[in-house]
Amino acid sequence: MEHLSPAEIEAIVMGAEPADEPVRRHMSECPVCAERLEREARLEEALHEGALANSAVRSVRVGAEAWRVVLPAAATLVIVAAGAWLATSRNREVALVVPMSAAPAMMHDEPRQDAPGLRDPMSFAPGYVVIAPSDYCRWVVAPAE
Amino acid sequence: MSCGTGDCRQCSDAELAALALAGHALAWDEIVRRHGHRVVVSLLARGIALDVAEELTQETWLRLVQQQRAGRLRSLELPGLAVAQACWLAREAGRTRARREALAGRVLSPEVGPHERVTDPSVDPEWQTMQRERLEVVMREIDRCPARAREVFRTVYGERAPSHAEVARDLGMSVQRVRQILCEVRARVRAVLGEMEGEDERWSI
Repeated sequence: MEHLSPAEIEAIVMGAEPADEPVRRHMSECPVCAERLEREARLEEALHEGALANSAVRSVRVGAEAWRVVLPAAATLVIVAAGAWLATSRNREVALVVPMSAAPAMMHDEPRQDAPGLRDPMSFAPGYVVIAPSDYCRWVVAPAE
Repeated sequence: MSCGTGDCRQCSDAELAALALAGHALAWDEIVRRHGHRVVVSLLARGIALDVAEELTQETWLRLVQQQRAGRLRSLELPGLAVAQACWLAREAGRTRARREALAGRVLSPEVGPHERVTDPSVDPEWQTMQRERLEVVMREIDRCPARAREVFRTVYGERAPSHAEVARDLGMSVQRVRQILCEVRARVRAVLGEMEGEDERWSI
């Protein structure tokens, strides 16, 4: 049998066609073809590794490209959110300044809790003894002769 | 997991590994289909004869399944684990043969046999450096190929290891065209590897 053709060796190495019996016999007897098969298998191995590394690199690239899209979007969102927050906080400050037109209505509606005279005097100084109103009256009313 | 007990061909390698570690027989069948040829090629690339390489590959899968059934297989990194196991078996076969010859009183051939050439690459930094450089060259050349050729190459050498007929059907071309494109990619890679190592003979067939 003549030496195997490059196509035959490639077919064996690529697994495209199983080697038949005469080819196997020749391969075991012919050191030249055995060496060619070894060389082609080394190339096949390099291609497998290249494909594996390529897919790993591509998945990293896809991840990086996804970040390239996600990061600007996130930055835009942050800017928009910050702008919205600033705008609403400015409105809040404005709302704290009560317009003069609204002030009387507010004051008349409900008296403030810290208005003088409305709080329980006992709460100023717990334990403080308030002089009973009857004692004040004692000095106001002229004593009976 | 996209594949339950049904068609394992749609599973990713990680899913298959998980199923195989759980003792799923169909997952093992699919793993052997996907990576069997890759293991044979690794042994051929180390100078093992085709028949012996195929026997050692069968033995490799048997050992891995036995390890899994015995509960000694914690993870399944493929095809790395299978290739490592096959290379180890090849070395062991070479040592056993050498011992038998020594016991039989035969004079050992000074020529190193292919089994003895199967070395563990992880212990050789020079080999690893060369391997990295080679890998970069291969990747660069694949990137330089036309888009259609890249697509065919990536599909054929992809994770699911489809047959050439399946690739032809999926990409809408003939099987002959798929093989022709693959042969063109191989020729380009062979040429650049020959240039890189300054030994065109080393990569030619």
